[in-house]
Amino acid sequence: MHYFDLVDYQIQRESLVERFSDPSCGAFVSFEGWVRNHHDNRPVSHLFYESYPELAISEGRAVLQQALADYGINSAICIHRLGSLQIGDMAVWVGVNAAHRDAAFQACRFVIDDIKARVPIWKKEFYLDSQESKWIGSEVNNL
Amino acid sequence: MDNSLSSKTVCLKYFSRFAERVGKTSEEWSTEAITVQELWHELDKQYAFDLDISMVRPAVNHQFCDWQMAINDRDIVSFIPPVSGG
Repeated sequence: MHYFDLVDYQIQRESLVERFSDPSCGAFVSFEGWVRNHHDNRPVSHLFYESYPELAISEGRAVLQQALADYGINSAICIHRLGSLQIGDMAVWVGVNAAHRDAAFQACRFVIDDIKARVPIWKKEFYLDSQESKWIGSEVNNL
Repeated sequence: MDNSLSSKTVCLKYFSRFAERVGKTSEEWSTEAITVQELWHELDKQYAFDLDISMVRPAVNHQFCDWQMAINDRDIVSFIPPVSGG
């Protein structure tokens, strides 16, 4: 089983964890990405996330399918929140289960890394020390 | 008739920094570009995007594609700036 979704409301981890109940699995690993209050030595006030939904859903599903194929896990779920998020809000949740912990840890790491690298979701940072805001993702190589 | 030589109308979808640059999230665009790479250069000339093509990925009809992908009339085309989810 795998499931990827984009939501515009608070992610509820409890209802997600319940979906992993499986007597054949001895390991469950999850990752939560939270909005932090700083980036590159600047004080962050809040974030805004947007996506290309059609492409993000298909790419997100492909990441989870890859995780199931490569790591032999039983299930994988990833939920990414969109819209305006405050400090401490959960932006992304990943959960995987497997018979054993090695596969679960490795697959969870793979999923969050690949989601961040290839799924068309963008984060805009807003700062406490200026009125400036900035799209993240291409700072180093800006022309 | 070789469709590649005729004018096509595509739907352009813009996201994040590109949407801000263009000032809209979508538009109809008439072009004689044959490939998505040609279309990118055409739009870059119009809007002066602040990213090099090497940092951008093209997508047609909601799927990533190669820069040499041929454009067809009524295609939905988007240029994807570096992503930053998570």
